[in-house]
Order: sequence, then structure tokens, then C-alpha cells
Amino acid sequence: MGPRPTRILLIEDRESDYLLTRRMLSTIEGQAFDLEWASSYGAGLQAIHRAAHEVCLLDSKIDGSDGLELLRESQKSECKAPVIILTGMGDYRLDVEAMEMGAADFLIKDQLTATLLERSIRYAIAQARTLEELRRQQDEIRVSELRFRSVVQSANDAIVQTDENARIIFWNKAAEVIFGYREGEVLGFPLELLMPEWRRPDLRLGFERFRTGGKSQLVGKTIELEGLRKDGSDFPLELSLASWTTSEGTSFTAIIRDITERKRGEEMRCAKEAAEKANRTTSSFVAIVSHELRTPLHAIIGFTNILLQNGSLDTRDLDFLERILRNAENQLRLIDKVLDLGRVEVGMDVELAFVSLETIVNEVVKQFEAGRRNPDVQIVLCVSPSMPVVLTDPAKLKQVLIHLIDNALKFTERGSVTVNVATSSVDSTPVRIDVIDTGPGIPADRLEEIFEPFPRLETEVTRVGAGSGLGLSISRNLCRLLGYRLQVRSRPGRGSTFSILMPASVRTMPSAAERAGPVQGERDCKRG
Amino acid sequence: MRKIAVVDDNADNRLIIRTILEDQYEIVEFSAGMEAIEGFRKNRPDVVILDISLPEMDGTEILRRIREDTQLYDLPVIALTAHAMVGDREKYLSAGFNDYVPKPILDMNVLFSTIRRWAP
Repeated sequence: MGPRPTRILLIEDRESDYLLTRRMLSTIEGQAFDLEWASSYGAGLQAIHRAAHEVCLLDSKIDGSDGLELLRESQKSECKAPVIILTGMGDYRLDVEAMEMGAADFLIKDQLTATLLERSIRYAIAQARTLEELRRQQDEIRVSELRFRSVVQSANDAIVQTDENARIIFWNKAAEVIFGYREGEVLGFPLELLMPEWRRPDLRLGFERFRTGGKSQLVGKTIELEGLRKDGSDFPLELSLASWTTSEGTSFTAIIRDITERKRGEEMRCAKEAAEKANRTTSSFVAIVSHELRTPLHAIIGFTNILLQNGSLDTRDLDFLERILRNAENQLRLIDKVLDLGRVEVGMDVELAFVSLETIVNEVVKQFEAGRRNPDVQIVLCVSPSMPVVLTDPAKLKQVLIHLIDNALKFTERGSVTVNVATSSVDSTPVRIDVIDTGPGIPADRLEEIFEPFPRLETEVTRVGAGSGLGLSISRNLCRLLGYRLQVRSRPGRGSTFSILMPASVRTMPSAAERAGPVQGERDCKRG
Repeated sequence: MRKIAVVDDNADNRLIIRTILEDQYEIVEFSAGMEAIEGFRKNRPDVVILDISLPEMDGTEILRRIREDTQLYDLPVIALTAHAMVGDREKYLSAGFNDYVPKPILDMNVLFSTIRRWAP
């Protein structure tokens, strides 16, 4: 068996020409042809649409109409078979016209030989295959291009391409968002448009080095730079650069990410770490200072106490020693408070725990009862029976209470200091602790000043040996740290009330007593 | 008479403790850790009063060596230190000191009662 016959469609209204063509094809050796004849315009059109042929031989005049009309129909149709025009006489204009319309060849019947026809058919088919292949490749390129565009345009990173002279030739959507320029505003402009002035020489140098040496230190790396937006603001960016070379030269693709947020996060983390380090440094510094200041006081107080035990000293000497001792003790308290203030101001970690306020207040009051103090002042503790368990920093809350009670005792010569713990379900401050004294009170214009370290008011009192005026300042700072308010109400001659007010957001748990059921009875006030 | 060992590099501090205690106790003084541990082995005291901030070997390290020593491990050791900030007492007690007295000593009775707790 020979090769598969080539399927040919002949559209020709004259039977003699059909027979001639058939005879001609049959003389061709080595190749079989399967010839279908359409003898009218209509039959030709139908056959074209059926598209069962590999090549079409078309008479330029058919049924008195223009054969080129059928050529046009063929080109419009799905049929991809090449069309060879057969014509009665040579007509250059017709030839050119047919070629422009996509005819594969233009053959003059009188001059036609079997060899010529065979070759024309063979070339037409080969050419059609080439065209088909080209079309397929173009399709692939178009699909690939579409895919590339959609990826590039939907990317969150700016994708910018430049030619080898660093002129922008491509600009995606994200680039518009990041830099604020629309595509039309940047295409053809140098890449350095996107960088702050001071970065530009580096960029120029980089491109220059690439052009002369063929190498760039940037290509293939990810680096952090600064970008310049259209509005003139700059921002940190991360850039990775790729280069590719074609017959048209080298291009660069820059993938640019706005790292403002990341940088901000890094900065915050750095600042936090620095603060924590400073905090640790300060804490250990404070510990060292505390130790160094206490050591000489140990000798002063120690030897003074020893001398005071010595029975051979006279009253005057003993009085002087008492004064030395009192001053040394004042100094010791001062050291503790100054260092405490330093620690609070630097910022301390809050260590939260659920604790019973009653327990805390009891412990603090007990501590004062144990110490030496003025017998004319009573410490009274009032705790409501259904005291909740509160989420707080127990050590710091205790410290505040110690300062407040210490302060109250310091100023109260006669009467009482009452610690009152109260809850309210309607109040905006559901939990409060009041420290109420019967001291001299504070003039209205001094009420804020007392929270300053070393207030003026204090200078009149220090002579009495009461100690430093740092306690209230420390207390206010600690309260602030815990999210509480420290409030004072006072009138001269009517005593003072300092209140720790916990906010409505304070987390509480019902106390054991409350969980056990409603408690009947009065508030429990103990006299200390 | 019960024997008290005082370890402190500061002569003033040793003298204070000696003066306060010498009527009631026999006092041995040491100014450094190694010397003290050797002294304890030769002549075991009833209670050790140990400073913390010492050059070369600090009080916590001396305590560790005492606790690891087969003869000395159960010696009552009281920290007497100017490390007296909030939390220091708990820190030294959990480090293994039997007791803790902060410097300066405001009330000498505190020192006596502390010692009596460990050497009744």
C-alpha cells in the first residue's frame, strides 16, 4: 500500500476542467489523491464547511460569480485547508488580491502541468501546517502571557521591570498601590524615581557596574532599601532583583515589598527589649545602690546601739546618741523609698494573682500593730463580709497600703487610722480601699502637691522625724501601674481619706463566704 | 558557751557583732570564705553568721559548699546582709540559709532571738 491519499476538494463548474484535473492528478507517481468535485457555488460552500479535505482547488470564476467569494468564505470558516486558485487567464491584479486574501497559490490552467500541480499542493499543505503550528504557538504564548499577567497583577508585591538603562518598562497593580504612581506615569522613567535622592548614586553605580562588568551584586539577592512614594514620603522596602537577557538586551525584574509594618514590629520589639534590658540593668543597679548605702548605716546604727547599752554614759551623751540613731533610721527609710520610687518609675512587671483583699489588708495591719507606735492612735479595720477575691498584684497592693497607713500614722497624733474595704455593685468603682485618719488634714491647694516626691508640706513635718515624703508618690505610681486611681479627700482639721479605687473592669471572684450563701450581719470592724 | 562564727570582710561589721554577742557567746571571726570553711572543719561552730557580698567567694557560694560538705552540711547558717530589698528574705531562705537578718540591725534583740532559734 502506498501513502494515504491526499484529500482534495475541487470547486469547478466546468466538467472538462474537472476531468482534466483528475487525469493530471492520476499521472502523478508515488502519491495518491482522493478528489472530491463540487460543481457549483453552493456545493462548493457546503464542502468547504464540511472541511473533509486537506487542500482546495478553486476556480476563480464559478457559476458566473467570483471564486474569490468562496475563498473569503473558506477563510472565515473553521476550515483550515489551504486554497489554491485556478484561473483561466493570467491576471496579476487577481493574483495579488487572492494572495492577500490568503490563497496558497495562483495557477493558470493553460500552463498547468501535473508536476506543477503536485508541487503546488504539496507546498500549500506544508505551508498550512506551518501556519497552523505558528497559530498554536501564538495561542500558547497568549495563554502564558495571560497567566503571567494575572499572577503579576494580583501579586501583593510590586513587580517592576526595567530595561538595561534602568528605565521602567513594566509596572503592576501592587506597584501602583505601593508607590502611588499609575502605570502611565512611570513607564519610560528611570527606576531611581522610586528612591530617595540619597539612594540614587548607589543605584546608578550598580547599573553602571552591571553594564561594564556584566555582574551586579544585587541580582539574586534580597536587600532592604528605602523607597520614595509619589507623595514624597519614603518607606522601608525589601527588594529582590532578577535579570534576564534576550536578543533585545538585558532586563531587570524587581520584586518590591513594603515592609513598613514589619519594620515597625521590629522596632517595637527592639524598643521593648531595650526597655527590658534597661529595666534589668536598673533593677540590679538599684540593688547595688541599696546594698552600698545600707552597709555604712549598719556600722553607724550598730555602734550607736552598742553605746546606748553602755551604762557609763551621762544623760546628755545618751540624748545625742538617740539623735544619731533617729537620724540614721530616717536615712535608712529614705534610702528604701528613693530606691522604691526609682524602681516604680522605671516600670516593674505586674504579677497578677487572685487574692482575698481581706487577707492582704489583715497582713498589712498586723505588720503595723507589731511595730512600735503611738499608743494614742488606734488602727481600725473594716472589711465588708462578702469581700470578693480580686485579680491584682498582691505585693504591690500591699506596698501601697503600707505607704498609706504609714503616712496616716505619721500625721495622726491622736485618734485613729481606719482601713475600710468596700464593694459596690452599682458604683463605677466596684472595689475600694479607704485609709481614713483623724490627723490635721490637708489644705485644698496642697492636695495635688502631696503626691509629688518631697512636697513642700513635708518640710514642716520632717522635723518631727516622720521620714520622707516619697510614700504617696510611690503609691500613686504603683496604683497607676495596676490601673487603679489613688484619690485623696481632706479638710484641714477634719482628717484625710486616701482611697484606692479599682476600676469597673477589675476582675473579681466571689469570696468563699459569698459562695456559701448570703451572709447576714453587720460589717465587721475590728479595733487594733 | 555556744560558739558563733562571724564571716564578714568588713572589720567594723565583725566588731559590731562581736561586741553585741561576746558576753553570751564565744565568737570566732573570718574575713573570707575558704578560710572560714577550713576553720569550721577544724572547730565546728554552733551557728554561722554569714555576710553575702564578700570578695572572691560570696556568701551564697560559701553556703553551697557548707551544704555539700559531709561534716558541715547541717550547720545553721544565718544570712546577715545589706541585701534587704523586697523579696531578698525569700530569696536567701530559698537558697538554703536557715535564717535571714537584714543590715542594718535596728533592734539587737532580733539578732539574739534569731541565734537562739538555731542554738537554744
